[in-house]
Amino acid sequence: MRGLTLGYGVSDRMVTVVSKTRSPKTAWSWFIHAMRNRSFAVGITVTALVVLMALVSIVWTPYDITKLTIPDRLQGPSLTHLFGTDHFGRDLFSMVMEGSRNSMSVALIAVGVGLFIGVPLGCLAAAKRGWLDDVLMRGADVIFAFPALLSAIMITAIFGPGAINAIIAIGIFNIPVFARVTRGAALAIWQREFILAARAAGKSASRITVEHILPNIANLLVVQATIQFSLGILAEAGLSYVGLGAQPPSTSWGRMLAEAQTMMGIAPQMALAPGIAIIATVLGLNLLGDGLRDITDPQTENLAAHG
Amino acid sequence: MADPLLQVKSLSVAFGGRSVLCGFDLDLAPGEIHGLVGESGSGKSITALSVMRLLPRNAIMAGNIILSGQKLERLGEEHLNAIRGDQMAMIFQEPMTALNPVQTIGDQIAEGIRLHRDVSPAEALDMAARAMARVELPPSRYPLSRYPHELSGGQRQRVMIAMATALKPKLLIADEPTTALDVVLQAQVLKLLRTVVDDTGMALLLISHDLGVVAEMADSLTILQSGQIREQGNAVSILRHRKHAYTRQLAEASTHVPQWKNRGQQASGNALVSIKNLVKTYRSKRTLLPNSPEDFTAVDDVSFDIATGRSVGLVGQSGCGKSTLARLILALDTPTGGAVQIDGIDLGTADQSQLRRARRRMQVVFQDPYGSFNPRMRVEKIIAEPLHLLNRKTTLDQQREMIADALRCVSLSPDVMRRYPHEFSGGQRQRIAIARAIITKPKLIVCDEPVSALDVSIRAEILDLFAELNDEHGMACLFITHDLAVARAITQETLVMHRGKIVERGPTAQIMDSPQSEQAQKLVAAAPNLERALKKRLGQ
Repeated sequence: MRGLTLGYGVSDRMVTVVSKTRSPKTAWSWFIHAMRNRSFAVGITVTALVVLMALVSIVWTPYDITKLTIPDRLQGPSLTHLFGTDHFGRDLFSMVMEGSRNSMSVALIAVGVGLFIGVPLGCLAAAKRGWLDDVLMRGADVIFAFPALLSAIMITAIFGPGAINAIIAIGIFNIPVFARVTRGAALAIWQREFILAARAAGKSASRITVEHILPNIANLLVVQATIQFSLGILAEAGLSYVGLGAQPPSTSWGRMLAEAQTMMGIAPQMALAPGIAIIATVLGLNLLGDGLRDITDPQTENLAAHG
Repeated sequence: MADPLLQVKSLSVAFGGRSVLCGFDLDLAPGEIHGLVGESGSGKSITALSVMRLLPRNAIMAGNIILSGQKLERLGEEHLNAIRGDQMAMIFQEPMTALNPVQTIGDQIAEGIRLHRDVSPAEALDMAARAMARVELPPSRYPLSRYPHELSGGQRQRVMIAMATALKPKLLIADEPTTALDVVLQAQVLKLLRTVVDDTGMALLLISHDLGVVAEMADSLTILQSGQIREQGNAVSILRHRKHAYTRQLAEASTHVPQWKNRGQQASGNALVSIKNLVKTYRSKRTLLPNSPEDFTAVDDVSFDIATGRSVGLVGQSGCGKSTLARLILALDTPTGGAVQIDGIDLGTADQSQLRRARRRMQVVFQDPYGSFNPRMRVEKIIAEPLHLLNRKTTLDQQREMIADALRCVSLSPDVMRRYPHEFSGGQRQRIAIARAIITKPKLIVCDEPVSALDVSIRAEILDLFAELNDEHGMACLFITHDLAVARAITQETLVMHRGKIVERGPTAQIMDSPQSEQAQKLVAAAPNLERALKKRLGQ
């Protein structure tokens, strides 16, 4: 083709465009808008606090949790030991901080594994349909058919306990969840007319997936990821509780619960500290997920705009 | 004039300080058909919802609505529920979503009856059967036990009418009852409404955006524009004198024919598109049960050519296979048999690079200006989408220039590039869709009902644009439409399709004036035509 301009005559009547809705939002104004949603506001605050705690624990904790100070053991909450101490005299607040890092990193990486393997598989199934779709989805069904925690125990039993194997075990069960959610949402987008337009423009299925499908299902995936993240924290706690997660001297919330079990009668703070931490984090993440879903769902957004 | 059945006095409606209807008056006598005409945003649906007292909660309403002596604006929800469905009923635009998909049609009609009349379920079903017979769906052929998905769009709209008229309400409000139907079904439904009104003596408030639709039906008329009455009175005299500028504009738009400089003169003899014995069969799902449904042939042995620079219309009722044919031509679907050639490239045997060449030469514009864009892309990216079909790599600046050119060509300012599709009105979106289609300078544009979702005045503008593209730039167009008025306005040649086959072809004017096949005659007779309707009514 010669010459870049289309060479069409410019019509003398220009159509004036009246902006009907708000101008494109910046990230900050989106955040302000989102904070009006109560679930989101509470969820993001709690999550941010826990993440902050985990980050700080990398460089600093009030006490060193690898040092045992038996004389201080089994103290109740006080100003020197915020949550009290355990049967070795370790500071429980420091352990909760340390544990948050382990719990969250295991859950986060496990969700990452699910996202990075599950989403492409789901996109592939939706784009290709046919036998590939059948094979992938029946494969997902098979993984779903295993009781997740028991299978995770099996995996760690074979490969040995430890954080890495816990990640793999939890990650595997995240894959079909993301594959299914992705496929379902992608199928709905594939039916839309703008996909037909993109195909008429000669775009390949992989390009359409990257340019059209993923941006339109991203919100759904973010919501699912927050929910899976909270489930991952619970799963990690479960695995550590039976001794298959983080190994001493490192700790995690589930491990702390397991250690507290025998001391319940004399030192309830040992169980309460990690227990409340788990509940608060999972609740915060679930609220965050709910809030995100409400905010990003165009239907509820429209209701807010028109209703 | 008899006592009015419905009196609306200085009705005003506002949403959050924004007035959408202002000082609306209306008197409606029993047995009268009143046409309420206006474009989207004119407040016509708001009027209907006000009368039914179904306005959304955040709407503020002032004025009086009196239905046979009762002041509706004073009544509480309980009283209103007793009146709604009994004394006044409403029919909506979309027959696909207005029925509950998990309930049989008989139950749905009977439900409304039992709400208002103290009758047994059996009696209610009996009344439902009579209501169905009245809308020409005799229960012997269309049993009450059917579900909505077993009926076609036209039949569903009739079920809606049966439901609304089962209790013989005094007032029936029909909000764009035929907009979602093709012209033949539209004519049937309108005729049916007329019969029901004549039989039962109810008053009908018929809402439409198209003057042509109401011209044949209405006794009196209101022309509404941005919430204000522009003209009101006897339908024939309004349509004949067209005193108000807006009435004239609507009437002109409804019969609009673009200005041509060299209509079809650029067309050369060689075929740009050549279709031979094309067949597309959809295999039915095979089940283990015997008597599984037969395969459905959507396109049945179709052959035709489109010459370079020609504008061809493909008309037919909904479900006749015209959209499937379009998808086959665009290589979005693979045919079961036959061949499509674009500019010498056989789509069936083409390799990737040939297919790209073919795709560069043909582009598409869809019906729904809302669904055909990715809502998360800026206009710039939307329009640039087909650019990767070009062989040569283009720099970003060159791309910008091409996008700006395409936008100017559809009379949009290049400044809109950074905007998102939701910021545009329906007509503007359709312009963006056209800009996307023309950016690779295709030789053929396939348009699948490109104007049927648009208001009449915007429709006229878009038709002008298509005419300009064909006329001045020699782009061939394949116009798929159920509306012959559209085909007449911008095509030189017309193909009539029925049940997967081409039943008639020829110069557009010839088909319009002397249709030969039965299907073409049906389509021509059903197309709403303002002038013809007016002549008929003046002759009475």
